[in-house]
Amino acid sequence: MSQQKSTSDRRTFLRTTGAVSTAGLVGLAGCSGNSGSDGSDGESGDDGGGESGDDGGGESGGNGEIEDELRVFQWGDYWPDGFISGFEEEYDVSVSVSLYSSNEEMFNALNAGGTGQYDLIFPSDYMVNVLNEQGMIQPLNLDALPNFENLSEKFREAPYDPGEDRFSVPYQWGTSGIAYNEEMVGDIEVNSWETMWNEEFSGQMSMLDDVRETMGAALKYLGYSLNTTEESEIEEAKELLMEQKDLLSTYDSSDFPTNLINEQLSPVHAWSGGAFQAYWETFEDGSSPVNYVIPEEGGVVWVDTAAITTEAENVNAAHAFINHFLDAEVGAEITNYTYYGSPNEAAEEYILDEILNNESIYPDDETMSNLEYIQNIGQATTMYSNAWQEIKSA
Amino acid sequence: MGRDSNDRASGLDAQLVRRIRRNQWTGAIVNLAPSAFWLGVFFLAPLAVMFFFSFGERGAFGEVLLAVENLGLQQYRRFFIPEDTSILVALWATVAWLIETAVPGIETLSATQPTPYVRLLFKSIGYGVLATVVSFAVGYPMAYYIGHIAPERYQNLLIVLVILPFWASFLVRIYAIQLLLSANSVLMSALAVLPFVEQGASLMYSQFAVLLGLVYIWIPFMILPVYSSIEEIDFTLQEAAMDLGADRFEAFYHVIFPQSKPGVMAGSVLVFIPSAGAYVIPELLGGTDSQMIGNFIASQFGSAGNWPLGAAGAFVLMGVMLLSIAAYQRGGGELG
Repeated sequence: MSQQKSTSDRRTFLRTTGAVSTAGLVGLAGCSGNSGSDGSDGESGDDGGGESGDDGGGESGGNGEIEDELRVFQWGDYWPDGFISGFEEEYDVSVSVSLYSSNEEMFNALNAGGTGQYDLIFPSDYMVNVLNEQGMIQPLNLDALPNFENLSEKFREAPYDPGEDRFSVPYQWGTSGIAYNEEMVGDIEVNSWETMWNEEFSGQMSMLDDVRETMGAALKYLGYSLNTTEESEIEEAKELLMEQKDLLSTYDSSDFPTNLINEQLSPVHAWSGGAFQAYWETFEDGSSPVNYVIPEEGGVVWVDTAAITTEAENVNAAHAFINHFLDAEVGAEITNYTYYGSPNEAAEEYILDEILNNESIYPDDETMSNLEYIQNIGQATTMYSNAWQEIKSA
Repeated sequence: MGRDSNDRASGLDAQLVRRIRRNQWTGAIVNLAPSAFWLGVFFLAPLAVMFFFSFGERGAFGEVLLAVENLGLQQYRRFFIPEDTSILVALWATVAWLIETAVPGIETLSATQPTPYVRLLFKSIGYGVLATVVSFAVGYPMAYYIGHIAPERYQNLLIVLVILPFWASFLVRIYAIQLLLSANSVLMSALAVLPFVEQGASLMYSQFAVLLGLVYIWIPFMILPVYSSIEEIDFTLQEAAMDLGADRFEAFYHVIFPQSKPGVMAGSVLVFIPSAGAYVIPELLGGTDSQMIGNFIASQFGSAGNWPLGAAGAFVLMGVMLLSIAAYQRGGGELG
C-alpha cells in the first residue's frame, strides 16, 4: 500500500523548476556537445574496432552480445524501487538513469547534445513520430524481443509508429479526463465534458495548461477528432474555451493533484496519473473522496514508449532492457506500482484486481474506442497554438 | 635558508603580479579576462544563437529551420502585425486598443485588435509598472525609516531583516504565498471574520495574487537603493528649509525627496525589469487572466515547439527592458 501511495504523476512537471532545469540541461548539453560527441566517437572507435564491432551491425542491432553498460533517459518515478538493480543483476549490465519531466525537455536535450548521449529513451506517442521523422531513433530488431508477443493486439498497432519497421515499444498508457473530490462537490454524476462547462462549478474548476489537451477536450465535447486540422473546427473549439474561461479558476497542469487533495478545486481536467496520486493521498478506511472519470465523448489516450536512439552505443543491452520490461511478471510489477494501464496482455494475470477492474484505468471497450492519441499534425500545430494564445490572452 | 629564498621568490612573484596588473594593457587583459570569458560564453554566445533563431522558421516537427530561404523578419511580423493587415493598421490598432483599455468610456476605436502577443506584452508592462508603484509606495517609507528615523545601532539589523527572505528559496516563498491565499488557510480563515469576506473564499489564481507575489519578491530591490540614498542625505538641509519657512511637507518634497531620487530611479528599474519579465509568479499564483509574456515565451520553447517565435518574443521583451534602462539613464539616475 505504501508503495502505491507514493505513486506520483510523472507528467506533473513543476514548470518552474522544469524550466530552470531545461534551460540548464540544454545549455550544458549545448556547451559540452562537441566534446561529448568527440569523446564518444573516440571511444566507439577504440572499442568497436577491438571488440564486437557493433557499429557495423547497428541497423539490425540486438543480435550480438549484450554490452556491460546501458544509459537510460526516462521520466521521473516511473518504475518501482529495485527495478533497475533487478535488471542489472540478471543481465550483468551497469545501468545509469537520467530523468526528464517533459517530452520537449528530452527532445531538446537530444537535439542539443546528440542522440549518442543515451541508449534508451521513453518518448510519448506523438514524440515517437517526431523523433522518427528527425532520424533520432532506430528501427528495433523484433527477433531480439521475444516478449513483444505479450503486448495486447491494440497496442501492437500504433498510429504514431505506422511504418514497416517498429521504432517504439509501448511501456505504460493512460488517459486524461475529469477528476473531482466528493468532499467539495458532493456525489455528482460526471459522464460528459459538459461538466467542465457547468456554471454550478463556476470558479472552482481548472483545465490543463496544455494546448493539445485542453483544445482536445473541447474538440471532443463538440464531437470532432482531437487531431483535426479543419480551421473551422479549431475555431469552434476556441470559442467554446473562451466561453468557459470565466468559469475557470486557472489553467494548470502541475498543481491539480494538490488542489484535489486540499479541496481547493473540483472538478478539474486531469491526467489519470495525477488523479490517482490524489486518490491514494486521500485514501482512508477503504475509500477515497477523489474520483476520476473518462467522459463518454472520449478524450486523450497516451502511451509512453521505449525507443533506441540512432547513435546508441549499447544497442544490445537496450534491446535486453526492453525485452525485460515486456516480461509478464515484470510488466505487472510496474503497473502495480504506477497504477497506469499496461499494454502487456500477458501481464494482466499478475496485475492487481483493483487495477484491472477499475474503469478509470481500464475503461470499457466503448469508451476505449472514443479515445484518441494526440498525433503530430505538422504545421497545423501553429493553428492550435495561435488559438490557445488568443484564449489565454483574451 | 630555504625559507629566506622562498620568501624572496614569493615576494618577486607578488611584485610581478602587481606589475602585470598595473600595466595599462596586460592589466586590462588579466583583470577583465575572467568576467569577459564568463559573459561571453554563458551570456553573449547563447544570446547570439537565440537572436539568430528569432529570424528562422518553425519546421513541421518543431525544429528550427535556418536555411537562407527561411530567414526573415516573419516572427517579428507575426508578433506585432495581425494577419492580413499592414504595419499602419497594426500600429493604429495597438494605439487604439491602449486608449480603449486606459480610458473607460471609449470603446472600439479600431475594428482590428492588436495581436494577442502585443496585448500580452502591454499587460506585462502594466504588471511591471503596477508592481513598481506599489513597491515604491510601500518601500519608500520603510527605507526612510531605516535610513533616517531608526536609531543608528538598529540600522544594520533592519537591513538584514529586509534581506532575510533571500535566505529562503524563491520557490519556497511562492508556495508559501499559495498556502496563505488558498481557501481555508490561516490567513483566509482569519479574514473571514470581516463582514465582507465570505467563508471559504480564496485569493489564489487571481491578478491580485500575482501582484502580491511580484511586490513581495522584488520589494527589497526598491528598499535597498532608496535606503542608501536617504542615508547619505544631509538632514540639516531639512532644518534649514524649515527655518526659511517651509512646512514639513514642503521641506520633504522640495529638499529631501529630490536627493533620494537616484535611489528611487534605480529601485524602480530593478523592480520593473524582473516584474515585467516574470514567469514563475504568474505561473504559480495566476489564474486564467494572469498570463504574462514570460509564460508565452516559455510555452513557445516548450509545448508549442516554436523556438523562433519564442526567441522573437524574448528579444522584444529585452527591447522593452533596454528602453526602461535608457529612460533611467536619461532621467539622470546614477548608480551608486
